[in-house]
Amino acid sequence: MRQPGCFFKRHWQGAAGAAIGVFFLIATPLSFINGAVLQKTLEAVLHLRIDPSYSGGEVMAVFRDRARDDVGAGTLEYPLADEFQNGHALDLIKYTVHEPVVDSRNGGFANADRGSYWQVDVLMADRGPACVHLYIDTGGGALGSTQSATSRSELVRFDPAHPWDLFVEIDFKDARAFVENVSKTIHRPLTVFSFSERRGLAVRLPLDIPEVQRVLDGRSTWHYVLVGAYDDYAPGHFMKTQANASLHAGGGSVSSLEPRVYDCLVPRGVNKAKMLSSYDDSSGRLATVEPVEARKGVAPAASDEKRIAALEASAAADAHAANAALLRDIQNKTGLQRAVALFQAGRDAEARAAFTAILATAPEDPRALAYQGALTAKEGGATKNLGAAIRFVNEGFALMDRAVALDQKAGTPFADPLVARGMVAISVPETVFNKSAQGAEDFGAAAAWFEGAGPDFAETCAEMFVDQGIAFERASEAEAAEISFIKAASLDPKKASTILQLVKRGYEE
Amino acid sequence: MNGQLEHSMENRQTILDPALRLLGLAEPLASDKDRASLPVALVVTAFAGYWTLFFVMGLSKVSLGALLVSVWFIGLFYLIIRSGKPAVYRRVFFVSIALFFFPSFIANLVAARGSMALSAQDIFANETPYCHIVSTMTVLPWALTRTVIFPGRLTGSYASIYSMLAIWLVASLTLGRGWCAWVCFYGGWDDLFSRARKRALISLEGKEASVRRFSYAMLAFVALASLASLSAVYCVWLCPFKLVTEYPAITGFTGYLATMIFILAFFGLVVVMPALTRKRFQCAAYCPFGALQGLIDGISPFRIRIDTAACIGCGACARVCPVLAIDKALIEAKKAVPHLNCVKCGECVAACPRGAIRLAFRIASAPLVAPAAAITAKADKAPSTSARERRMGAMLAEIVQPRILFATTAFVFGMVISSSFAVRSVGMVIVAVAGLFTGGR
Repeated sequence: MRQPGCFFKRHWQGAAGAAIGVFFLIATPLSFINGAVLQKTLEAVLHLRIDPSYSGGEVMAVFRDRARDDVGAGTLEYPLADEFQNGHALDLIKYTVHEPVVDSRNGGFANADRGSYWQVDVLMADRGPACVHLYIDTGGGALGSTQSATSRSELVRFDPAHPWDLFVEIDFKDARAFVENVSKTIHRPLTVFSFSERRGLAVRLPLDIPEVQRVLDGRSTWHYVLVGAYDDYAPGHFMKTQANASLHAGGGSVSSLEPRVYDCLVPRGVNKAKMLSSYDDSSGRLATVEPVEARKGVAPAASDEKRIAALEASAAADAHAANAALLRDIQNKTGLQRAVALFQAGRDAEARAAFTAILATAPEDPRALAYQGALTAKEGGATKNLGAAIRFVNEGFALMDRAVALDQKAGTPFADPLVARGMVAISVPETVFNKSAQGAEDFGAAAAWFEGAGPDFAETCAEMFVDQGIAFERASEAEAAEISFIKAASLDPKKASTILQLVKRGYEE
Repeated sequence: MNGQLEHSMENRQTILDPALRLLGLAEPLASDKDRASLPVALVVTAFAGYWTLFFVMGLSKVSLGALLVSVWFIGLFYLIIRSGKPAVYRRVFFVSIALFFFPSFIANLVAARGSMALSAQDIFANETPYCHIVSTMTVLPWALTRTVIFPGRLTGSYASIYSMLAIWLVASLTLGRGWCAWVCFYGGWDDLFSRARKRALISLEGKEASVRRFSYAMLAFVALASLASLSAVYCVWLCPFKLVTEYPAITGFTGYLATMIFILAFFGLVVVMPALTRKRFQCAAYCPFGALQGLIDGISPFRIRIDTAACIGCGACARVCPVLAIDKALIEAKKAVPHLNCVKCGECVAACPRGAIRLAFRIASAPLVAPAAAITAKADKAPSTSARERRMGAMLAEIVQPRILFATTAFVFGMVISSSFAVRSVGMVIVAVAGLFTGGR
């Protein structure tokens, strides 16, 4: 009699094929569920990048500006018109200068903007009616000017060492732009593209303009980037400023010579407030502004590996110390405070019991509900059964959604439900749950909450902006993430874990 | 023939018989092949059904549309496995994927940008949806310039470059060119129109090799032209599916010319030629991705095998092959495998009167002939084996049959790819129908 298994011995090839087939049968759906992992692996191996000529060419220089510094010399206030009340529309965040693109490959697409151009991008903190004036010294020397393109528009004069020869006006209200040379023999509308939900505009200067052609030899160019409030009827479309804000004028101006500039780029080491206050009432001299230099080879800030390692060690030590302090204090705490401390210390089973006890007496306590939801979602992460894991996470979100809704309804909302939901949103796989955009919204709302709570909460507010940036990154919204990180960096955080995230991304020097 | 007819008539004595047979619950006809046993059909349908509910209901949330799509997919899978006519229901599944895809894709575009037209802003923002065909144009330029010459989104789960590359990788490892008969959201159009007429008006007999060569020439042309111009030439000028997906905004003569080509390519290659030839002409002769998948099909564990000893050379397989992967010359040369462009649709398996064509594991040197029966027979002889163990052994042996594994894998793949599109499209139909009854209130 033949031994059992002879069939497989004789048909080993078929058996091997069957094993491979079964493997793929199981692996196929799992590969979709873990698509993010597969994508990350491919990313790590391939390092793909899109041909930069589609979106403006290689980056020559990036200039980041602090967030929330849209107050001119220090006192300017936004006009009172509704369109200026939506956040910080006049707050410059980033200015990018690209290398010139010759014979753009966009011509491959029949409808695209063909040809050769030089692109600059301007990113603001919020969408709104900003008017950005770019004065560029392309190296024309004595042919340039130190006066504004339109008299009495920005109320500044330009550094005599770098007279401008090219002027670009970018109107964020209608997403349009034009270019003028210093002699005004050229005045042309420009191709404009928007990005980051119209918070940013990219303008393309055609390379057939002689002043623009100078950038082709790779020389340095000097850029004055000035932001004002857009006004159709004002000189140079820069809305006037006065002592008190009105519908058609900004406020907070202490002098009739104070520049109408809410925000601008300044070179390293120059104090913006000082620069914009350098006017002289007695002599009638306008403030002199200085340019930033865009030079080929100046790469965007890179992260520092040594500093990252040191920050990682500090962040770990901080976390350890915080945990130890939490554990010490738990005994002294009761009720919700104790439950939250248990949650933060990672003692999930005890925390769950504590929150369950609280919810038994106060079933609509938004904070207890939110933490209970976070714990439920966390349970999903620890479960090996995929279906059960998804169910746990969805149940967790249902609880946290309820908590946020109840909290908003209560009138005096806490930040905890938003933070709890946001943290879970950036912890669960994005390809399965698609929650990062909601997480970013939650962290934004939490940051606003902490901002409103006063300067004592600046550190927490910075943490919220960092987490919002991470959420935006996960949602593939790079520019929105950038704005969040810049907001965080502008709050000068001290906590190692917050600085670590910023340094890793090149936002802290 | 008469015997078959009589047999068939006998089996149609009751009204219920045809329906039962369709579901695989009645005695099979002599012509029925590739039909799983009921327990195996139930087990694999439960497996495929679980994933269908997981992807359709779990991710799209429970709705009437999701429910209908789930029932449609699970029902079709059961019929593919159990009805004895897998090729027919595979075709229905495949065509439905294409029909589900385009309304949903267009709706997504309109929601995102307000139009089907691709604008300069979309190109600037690298927001052009990336499809699998683009891969044929981007590989060589990437090797040369280290950049992707297509203005698509790099990351993200929807039509991004990394997601499509991941899908391409998994598809190549599992289905090979089977992608073109089970997953591709364009191919269903060809399949649909190739069945528009009962008889072909234009015969491609004798021209199969030329058509196949043309497809590889097309691949070479598209790859090299993209390398030379550093632009995705097929997308820009030659794609026949722009009409049902997106097209460049017409802002000048070149845009107008490209749009004319897109319209002609769609009607000529996807509608008219398939209808006249009863072949999937666009897929067989024109699609560069299909040609590429054919060339790398060797990494897939499944392929069609022909038992040359059993083949009587009737040519039925060549007549039904939709992509001209089997032809007279191949049959006469007694070759055991079809040409590289075989899409593993199973039409030849169903058409072969001798059952000489099977789906097999590539690694097997000879086709596995009914291992289920062999295992059962073997187990029957073993005195220590209980009846339950014998049944389990037979069931397991049947499940690991390549046709079952392949059909299940391919179905799950196609279903996952199209699940969200299907739910959205069906949802749109439901809303439209509800609007008819409620007057839009």
